Amino acid sequence: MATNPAGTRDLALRLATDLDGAFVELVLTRQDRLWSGVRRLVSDSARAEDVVQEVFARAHRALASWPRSRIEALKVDGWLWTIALNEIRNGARNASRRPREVPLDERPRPATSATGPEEHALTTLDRERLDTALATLPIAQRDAVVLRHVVGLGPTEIAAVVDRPVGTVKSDVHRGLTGLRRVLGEDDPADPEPRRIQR
Amino acid sequence: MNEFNERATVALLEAATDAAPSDLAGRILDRLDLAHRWIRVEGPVGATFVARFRGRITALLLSDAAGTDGFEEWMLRRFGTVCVADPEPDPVVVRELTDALTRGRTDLDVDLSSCTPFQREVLAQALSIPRGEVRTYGDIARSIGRPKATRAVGTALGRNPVPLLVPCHRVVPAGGGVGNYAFGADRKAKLLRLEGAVVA
Repeated sequence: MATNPAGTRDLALRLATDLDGAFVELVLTRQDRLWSGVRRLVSDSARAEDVVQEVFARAHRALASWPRSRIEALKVDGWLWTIALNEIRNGARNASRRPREVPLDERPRPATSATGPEEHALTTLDRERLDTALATLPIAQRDAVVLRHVVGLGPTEIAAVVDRPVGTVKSDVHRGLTGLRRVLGEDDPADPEPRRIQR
Repeated sequence: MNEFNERATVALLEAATDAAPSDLAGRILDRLDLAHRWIRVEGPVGATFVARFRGRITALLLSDAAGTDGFEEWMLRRFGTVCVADPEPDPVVVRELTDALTRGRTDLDVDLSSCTPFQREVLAQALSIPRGEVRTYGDIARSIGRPKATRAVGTALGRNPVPLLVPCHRVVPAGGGVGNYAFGADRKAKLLRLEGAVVA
């Protein structure tokens, strides 16, 4: 189970007193988790990079304009995800005005030196199947499942991020998992038919 | 049909964690003007990496001391800062740095905010040692009013983030020889020889 980085409250306090210094720490400690979640929610790595960069840029702009008390009270991880989902939705709206969608044909990046053991545990094929299956879910369920089980946020945090009741979030996670099970169970790994994503 | 229960589905999701691209943090922070930028210049003892942050010099390391991880990893490990290659090194800055490294120019803007107040006092004294001269660790300790802090002076000099530019190599043991140096005693002896210093 993914867990939230430790010291979230302390980080908020440091952001309030030394924004630029603590923001480096924010990027270094949050980028992998944000990347993993965003990568499951968008069609390709280039789009994921754009989203993650924009999330941190927006976050820095906002924090630079906020009073100290507001930063101190900030729930950093949920807030970053609120920005990320907005950015993903904005990108999806813009993409929908373009003539065609991007096929889900990109292979995951090779493992790097920073790669943890979990990544090695998931084969390229598993990842492709998972991303393809996630892309079949309704957006609310996909967001809820990824935030819960890839990012590791709790139902209450997710409810704040997506601005929906906790009970609805739990239901979305449950339905999302059920949908994934069905698609993954039906999916034949030997059939590499490219699929198109919804967003 | 494959059997895919809830536990297997959750396990698959939880395993779907990736490391972000290795240069992503650098690009994010550079865009926000929060990354240090490095340039490589030729110095008296070989190629030298110099990091700058918002125009001020923050760190220096000999190229061959950067190790297999490289200078950027060293900056992250030592200072917790993200450092990226300067895409367009300013020729004026390169010339100033080369002058400072080879001819002892000491008026460059060095940022010692990563140091403790004690370190800054020690380094200020080291900076005041003229080219071609040396001082002992005891001299430095006395000059800052801490005559018994000889060992602490040695430690502070050893943690100098900008060796060569703040010439900690001009501080030597009272008992003779050149003493320790972050880049090796041989290099310290060579630097002092190039500067014309006489060491007992």
